[in-house]
Amino acid sequence: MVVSDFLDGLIKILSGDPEVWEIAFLSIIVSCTAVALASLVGIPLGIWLGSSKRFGGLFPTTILNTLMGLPPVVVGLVVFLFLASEGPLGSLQLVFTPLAMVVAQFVLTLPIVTGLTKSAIEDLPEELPLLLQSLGASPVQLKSEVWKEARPGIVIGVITALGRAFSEVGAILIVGGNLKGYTRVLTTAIVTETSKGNYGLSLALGTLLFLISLSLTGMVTFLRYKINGWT
Amino acid sequence: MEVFIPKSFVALLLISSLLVAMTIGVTIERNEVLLLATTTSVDNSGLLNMLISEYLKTTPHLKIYVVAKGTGAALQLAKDGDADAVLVHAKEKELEFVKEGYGINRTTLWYNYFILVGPSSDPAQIKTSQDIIDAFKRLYNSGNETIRFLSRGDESGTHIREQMLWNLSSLTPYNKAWYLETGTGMARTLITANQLNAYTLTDIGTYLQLKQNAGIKLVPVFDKEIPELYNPYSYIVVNPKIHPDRNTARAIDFLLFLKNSLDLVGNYTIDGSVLFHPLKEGRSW
Repeated sequence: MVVSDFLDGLIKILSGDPEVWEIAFLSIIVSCTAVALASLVGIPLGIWLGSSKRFGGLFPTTILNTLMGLPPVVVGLVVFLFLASEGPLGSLQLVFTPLAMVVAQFVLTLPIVTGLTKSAIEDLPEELPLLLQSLGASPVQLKSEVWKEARPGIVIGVITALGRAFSEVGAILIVGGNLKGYTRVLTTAIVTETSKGNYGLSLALGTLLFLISLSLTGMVTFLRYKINGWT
Repeated sequence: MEVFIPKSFVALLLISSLLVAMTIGVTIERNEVLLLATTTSVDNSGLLNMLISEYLKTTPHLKIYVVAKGTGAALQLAKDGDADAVLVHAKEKELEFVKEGYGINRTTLWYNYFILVGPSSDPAQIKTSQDIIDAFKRLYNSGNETIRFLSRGDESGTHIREQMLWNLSSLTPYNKAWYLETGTGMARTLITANQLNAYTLTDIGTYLQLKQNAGIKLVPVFDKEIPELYNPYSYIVVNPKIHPDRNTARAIDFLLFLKNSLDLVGNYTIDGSVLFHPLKEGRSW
């Protein structure tokens, strides 16, 4: 029964069912926006933390590593309490909107981008700056070289954050409310269909989620090799 | 001092702005919105979807969003001003909600009955019980590691009724090992009960829906139409005096539509069984 329902579900998706594609489109937009913003803030922050002697110590690293594993439901709950009508940011009326989902996933992925950027910088050979300086590099050239060397590690951070955002369900379920036709995304649609016992359709949606995740990660990985060579 | 900004970072900035613009685009609602907080039993049954698509035929520029939670959570959402109306089933809580001034125009629209479902072998012998109190006593006395009872445990209308029935039977099973709480919606609880071969209290609508969709094998073991199991659903409009920014006019219009569409409710069947019986006179007690 599940197998035939699964095939029906796949056919529904492949035949371009507008509802399914709207859901998939929103998944992509929300997660990509959140991760793009997290990268915008997290990469400079991570570089700064990674090269700073004072702020790169044991304590900040432990905090950052803990934040990297924040449970999505807790992030969702806290963001919800901030954005709900009775909350401090209630006047913005953002709760149950795609923008609120972006905020939640931004909070969720920011530590990941920051933390992995920081470790990418720290993993560079210690003697690299000295070596470059002895070769007569200007400060800007030095930074440019460090950036080039750290870039693969930073890209891994962005991919990890994207994977996390895309597969996450707890936070967007709470702040987005899983409203059909407005804030329903692939993961929350899977939860809904599974709870109704529509396993076949859930599995088909899961397949679509996997394929989109594969293409997004593939694109970022492709860019990384294109920039850094195919070795 | 010269600042180093890599090209790829500039690209990231551009992509981000584009994506933010797109998110704002999908966030801004061009249509009028009605936000309805309801219970999982109404949502899972498919009835509400049918009624909404019927209503939208006459109002093409309206969007109706449904948040399906337990009755307790739905009422809380409405209290906080995050819903325009609620459709719930827990009389005491509803009356309290209206009394506290949060709701107006409470109207009971339709009803069905709660039933006890369990494994077809009926190891607790509920089928032969004389009344609902006897049934709960039998559940309590035969509860062990194989004969279990699943509770919703989520402050939903069904959960509240279940607690009321234990109270009525003067029993407190809550700390027993055979009494398990799922903390989720009706459909999810039925699916879990089916896997565990456990007993549970459910509204008949969700049970019939799940029997058809997910092939659950549990059978009704106590399904008498008695006052203790009577399950009326009420629609309440969020009081505009407390939350003036809500779409009260539309919430009232939708209520009028529901009152005029009770025939659709009565004709909504799964496998030949009526899920909800309309209350024609639209009583508001």
